[in-house]
Amino acid sequence: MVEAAIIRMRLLTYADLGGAIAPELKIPNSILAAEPKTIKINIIGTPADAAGFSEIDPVTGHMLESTAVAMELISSSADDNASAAGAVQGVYSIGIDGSDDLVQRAEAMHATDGTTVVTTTNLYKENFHGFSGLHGTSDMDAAGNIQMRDIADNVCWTIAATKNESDGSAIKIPDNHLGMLTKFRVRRLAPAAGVYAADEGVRIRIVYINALDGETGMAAANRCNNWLEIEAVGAYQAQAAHPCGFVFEEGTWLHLQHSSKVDAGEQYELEVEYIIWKK
Amino acid sequence: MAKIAKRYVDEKIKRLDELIANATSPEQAGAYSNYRDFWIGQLTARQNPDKKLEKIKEQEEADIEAERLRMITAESEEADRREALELKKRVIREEMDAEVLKTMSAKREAEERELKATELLARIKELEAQILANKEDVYDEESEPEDSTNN
Repeated sequence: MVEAAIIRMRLLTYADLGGAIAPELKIPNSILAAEPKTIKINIIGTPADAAGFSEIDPVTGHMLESTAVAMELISSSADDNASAAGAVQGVYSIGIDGSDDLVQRAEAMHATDGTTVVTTTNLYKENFHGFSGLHGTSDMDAAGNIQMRDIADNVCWTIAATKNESDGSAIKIPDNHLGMLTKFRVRRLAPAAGVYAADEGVRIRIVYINALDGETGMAAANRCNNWLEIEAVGAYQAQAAHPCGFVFEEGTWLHLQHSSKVDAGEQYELEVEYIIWKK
Repeated sequence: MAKIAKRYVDEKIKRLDELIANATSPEQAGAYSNYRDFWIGQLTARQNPDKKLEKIKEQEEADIEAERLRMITAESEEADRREALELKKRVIREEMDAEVLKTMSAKREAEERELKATELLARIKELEAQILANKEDVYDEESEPEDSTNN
């Protein structure tokens, strides 16, 4: 069961944040010296009225490349093009480059026709997420479904038409890097009127799949099913994982899962932050 | 994967050839080669079913043609058979008609003969009667003079 979710994912550099990284965690200077990057994820989810964990906004394809390669960018609408009159002229994609660095790169759509495939000049080993960043006069949202895919047409993410952010809430800690959870907070929003005694609240898990389980461990059968979980029960109740600081090793996939035995149509708000630095 | 146009695959392979040629490391060229192999595989997978399909189609067409010929032959044979039967029937009918005519003719002839024979017999009887009558007259004439002499 896939539950509806609106996701924002951004990669911020150490310079973007002016070095202000999770001050409440008192991160050691030795880590700060490596100038960690920050992945910020914010999700507004609308769960179904059913218990059971499912992945939040899963992506269908992962590259799993050991060498960085070019990708393909294409839209189902010609209007998503790089001309001044286009809709989405270009996108930002978050992934891992050939130096095992976590990157957020700008990729331009085709100059005149979004349905013509563009082979990216930036190379990636993995690509998790994308959002529209450059817009023409036509629209601020995608005119068609914009897809970032590998050359075998394995789609890594899609910005759906009329949207400006792709699906996909999972990330991977690049090789030779470490990741630390610095924020993990869930809050119930707009609860339906009534009692909450019978529901289980909003439960969120970070499921982490070690490299030990294989990089193709996206299949449920291959998952080691280790997770960190928080839950929010009661109206407008929020819960954060304290203290954060859990560290994930290189090659680990981090997925977000959700279960809510709550009134259908209720929303939750989830904030997750990781810092990632080179060892 | 849905059926892919050959042109689409050709374009992919062409682009990958360029990427392989411009690869910055053997590993990268290898990665692109893997993609190229993938598309070659797709092309082969695309072509093979086509060939198979073509063969099946050819076989089906051949079967249809053979069936058509068989039906035409059967129809022709049936028509020939019917014609032969009709001919045979006609011959038999004609023979029967001829036989009937012959029988009727023979009967008529027989009747005519019988009639003629009856007529002849009647004529003979008539003539015999006449002869007899004439004979009696002769006898009477011969006896008259005898009687007169005696007188």
